[in-house]
Amino acid sequence: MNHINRRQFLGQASCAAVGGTSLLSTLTNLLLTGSAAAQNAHSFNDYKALICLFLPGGNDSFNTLVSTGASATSPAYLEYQTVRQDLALPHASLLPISPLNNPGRPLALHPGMTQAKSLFDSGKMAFLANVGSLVRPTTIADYNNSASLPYGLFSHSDQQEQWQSSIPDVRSGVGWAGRAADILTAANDNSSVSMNISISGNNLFQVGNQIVPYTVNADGASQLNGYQNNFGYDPIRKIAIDNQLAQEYRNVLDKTYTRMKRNAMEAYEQYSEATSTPLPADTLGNGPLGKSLRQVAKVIAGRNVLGVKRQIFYVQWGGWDFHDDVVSNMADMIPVVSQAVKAFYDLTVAMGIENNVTLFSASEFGRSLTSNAKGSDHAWGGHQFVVGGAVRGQRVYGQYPDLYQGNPLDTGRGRIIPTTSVDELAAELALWMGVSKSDLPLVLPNISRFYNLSSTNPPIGFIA
Amino acid sequence: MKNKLLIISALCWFFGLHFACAQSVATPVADVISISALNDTINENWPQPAYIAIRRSGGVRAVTVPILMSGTATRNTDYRSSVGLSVTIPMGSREVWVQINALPDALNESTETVQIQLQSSSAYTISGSNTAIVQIRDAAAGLSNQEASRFLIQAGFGADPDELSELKTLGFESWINQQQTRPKGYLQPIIQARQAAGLQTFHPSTKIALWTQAMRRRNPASGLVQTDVLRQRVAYSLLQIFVISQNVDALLLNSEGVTNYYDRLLDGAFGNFRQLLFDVTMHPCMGIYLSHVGNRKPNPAINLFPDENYAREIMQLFSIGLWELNQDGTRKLNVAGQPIPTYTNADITQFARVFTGFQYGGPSNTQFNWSAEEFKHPMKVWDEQHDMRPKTLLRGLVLPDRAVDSSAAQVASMLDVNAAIDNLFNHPNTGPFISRLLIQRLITSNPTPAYIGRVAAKFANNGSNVRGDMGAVVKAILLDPEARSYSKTTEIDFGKMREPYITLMNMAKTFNAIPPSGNYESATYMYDFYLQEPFQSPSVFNFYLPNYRPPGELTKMGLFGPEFQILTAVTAIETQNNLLNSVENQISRWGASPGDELILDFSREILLASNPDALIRQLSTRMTGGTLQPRSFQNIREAVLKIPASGSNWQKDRVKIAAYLIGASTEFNIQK
Repeated sequence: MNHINRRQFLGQASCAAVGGTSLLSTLTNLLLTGSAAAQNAHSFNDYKALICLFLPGGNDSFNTLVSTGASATSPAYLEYQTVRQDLALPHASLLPISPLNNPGRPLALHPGMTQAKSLFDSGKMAFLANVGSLVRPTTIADYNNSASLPYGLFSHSDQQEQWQSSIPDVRSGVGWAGRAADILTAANDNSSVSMNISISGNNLFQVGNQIVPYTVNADGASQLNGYQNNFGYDPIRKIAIDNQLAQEYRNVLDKTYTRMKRNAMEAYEQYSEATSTPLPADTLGNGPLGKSLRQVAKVIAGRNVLGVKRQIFYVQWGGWDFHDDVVSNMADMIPVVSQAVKAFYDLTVAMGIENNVTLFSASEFGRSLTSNAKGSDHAWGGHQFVVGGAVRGQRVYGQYPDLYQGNPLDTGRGRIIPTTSVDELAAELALWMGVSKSDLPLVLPNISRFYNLSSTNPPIGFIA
Repeated sequence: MKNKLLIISALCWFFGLHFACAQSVATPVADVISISALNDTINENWPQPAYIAIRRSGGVRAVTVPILMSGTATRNTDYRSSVGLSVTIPMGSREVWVQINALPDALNESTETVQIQLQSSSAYTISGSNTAIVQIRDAAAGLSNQEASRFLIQAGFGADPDELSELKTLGFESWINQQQTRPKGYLQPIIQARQAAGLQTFHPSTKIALWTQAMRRRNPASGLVQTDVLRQRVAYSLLQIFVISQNVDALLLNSEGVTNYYDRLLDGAFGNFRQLLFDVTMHPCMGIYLSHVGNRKPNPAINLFPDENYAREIMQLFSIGLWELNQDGTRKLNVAGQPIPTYTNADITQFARVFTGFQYGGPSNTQFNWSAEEFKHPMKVWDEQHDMRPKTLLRGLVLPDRAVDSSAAQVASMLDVNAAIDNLFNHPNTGPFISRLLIQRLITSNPTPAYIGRVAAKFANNGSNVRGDMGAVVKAILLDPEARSYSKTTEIDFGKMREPYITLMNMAKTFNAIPPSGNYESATYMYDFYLQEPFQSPSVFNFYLPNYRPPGELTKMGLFGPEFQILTAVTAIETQNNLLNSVENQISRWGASPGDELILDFSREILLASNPDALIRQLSTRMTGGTLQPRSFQNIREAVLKIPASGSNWQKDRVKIAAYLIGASTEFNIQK
């Protein structure tokens, strides 16, 4: 409860006293229930934040983490060039990387990823190869028999939903970060501001069975005009609007609308106070992605004002559905991501919080390896990255697939069956955030299809 | 914590203690009682109840007020009343309501009255008139203002005063018939006129053109009011199904092409769906947006394949959807109880081959290669880059191996295209799929299967054995009992969140905001406030998904609320900030050049400022179709009365605060 709410609380409590003792006892009971819930909780001594950077539209990530070789005639580069044709990046332009582990073939980054490469080389970034939504471990025979496949395979809206829910066989209306927050939020003080904060609109990822995300934009939260001042008609409007937001409705759309607006009003004061802490200088710039990540940093800087130990953020940037001009569009956009991720990491270092903040990329699918002469089409598995001080970086996790047409993971046109599931990625991150192994199936109902919960090894191992 | 504070706040308010905290316990104050009708007319054929408010000021203790009911109407024959001989205002309350419900009968009667008279008592004094009168209009008396306003909120852009009187004269069906034959308000000529006048024609100009036509009030030639608002609203809705957006570089500056596309949606609003699907498919703006312009036939030797983008979305979004549907829109299930996909990825690759050989059209483009960009004519499909080999489309339709027709280069390829359009148009899913989407845009987020089924039946056959008659579909949507019956509006799952952007248009339309220059230049750059603006969708999936479920009650009940997808902590506040600005200043928060201001005209409401009941009644009728609940009415009335009737601007200030608070209310934002 922030100062203003405390004042409101006191003013209203004394007001309620006139109405009779029953009101006060109702209030007391409600308060006690709230604090009782919080005692029965996870508690953590440290702070951790997880940021999902979603690249909607399907990033053509076989051109961000690229199969290469010592020369343009090396077999791994030729394999890449043969399948990608006009979409293949020139060998000389690529940025070769030297992973500490053996990813099975020589790899390089997109030419626009110089900043990302420096993060990778310094051990603060890892890649996860060929990850995607899976109902269970899947072979080409399963695919050909349509056995246990995600619904709406290769469609944007469905694959987005599945990346965010991690339940690709059922529509649940709830996301895995939401379910994780249902468990973890008890570690936070009871706050008007949700544990899950979106900078980029409403999304499935952060919706829990209990948790309702708080959605702001890159400029933060908005203040209601004509409401705050103690002059003019503001006091008249304030009373009337408070009454409107307290009104009870029977219709569920009425209820939902009233509640969502009320939540927005209540969270504003606390959020704006928390995010007013000045940040160290940064190099995020003033583009939408940089501003969004700076907004995340502001919330992290205000964590003590909010009284939170765990937070999950959602940032979305760009539209990556390049059925045409994929090469030139990515040449424009990939450097923006690379630069912003590095600048954000640097800012967390300046804030002294880099070991407690992990950012991961996501995108609904990779794209077809083969070209449509202008761009690439919807596919399945793709490569993602993870950034942060806790990341066991300079490594490529998972299995980088063969690229040639007709290889055992090719469902046609170079649409590659993922070899690591979103469940495994999510499990690794959820465990890092403090979800216990025994609670993991609450967050990821399908996890035991991919990971033995009694194993002493982590699901993937990319984070300490 | 937050909810508990609000409970307290609500209870404080309910007991009337906001201002009474300090002194009310000290000495009892004499009660002053008054009576007034919140809505003073009820209708046999629109059984929304009337509410008579009996109010007190002064005291806080419970007080009982005897009443006398009289009038030309007979209780329990012509109406029901929630009370008979007296009302009791409970301790702490300032207002109670007598509910009057009209009882429909088959008699053809003149308007009858219910009169409620306060009786005197030593416990209080009576202020003002001791009587309130409610009129009961006969079923034959035609549409009520509430019912007509509500219809225009669903079918147009709000209760425009001229459209309202037209509608009341004609009745629903004749009004729809007339709308369907009105001259079309095309957008492209507006862009061309701007070009000729040297005005900007990049992306804000499409919003300017849309507002000009949606708000269009007078036929320039005849001077008569002659809007085609139903067509405009349906086209606006179709743009949310057949989405294109100027947020891609190739369309950003191309407002002429984009409005040419929109004009095809205006044609399709009451045209045939088959033509609409064809026009959308062939339009170069769609060719740009979903990348089938320039799509080439496959060349497996060098691993080149057709672009699958349009092939996928024409099925998923524009015609049949992902799952096999029954005619009532429910999903068919296989023997395992699972929904059945309408198509596989293999089907997409077949359709992708149909959509090869597409290139810009128009008279000057005479071959696939070297075609110049051309947005005012449909694309052409060239045999030389069209995949001529056999294709298997849905439901087993096989297209034969085509031979290049030597007489004309586009004959064989167009045979494929037309066959594919027919294949989708005739798919049993298309009627229920499109019907549901349009019902969601106009009437309710969760139509019953029976409602979808009735509309889909009209899609299948308009009564004259024509499939795909969109005029018949639109009429069926609007005249369906589920859209028209009063009782539906009281159900817990009926209605939809008004599109945030439409709330803005509603205010402009309802309050006659017309720029003196005739130029809607300032009705632009709204996306960041609303996360919605025509032609600015972030993707082909529109601003929100038809199956979006906001967290909470709707999700728990398995219900949808598409527009809630763009209700965030930012838009919830910013839409209301825009509302305040619209009411206090002008529609645009960015200001406007002199003459271009869009200012709400409250001149008729100002006349009612000294009578808050009449003021709020009129505003509620026009803005919400009269759905404002008595408690909301009380809240707004008490706010209005805090502006004293003195000084220079009090009348306007009262109107403004009332209009603002109604616009901010849940009743306004959830359309029933």
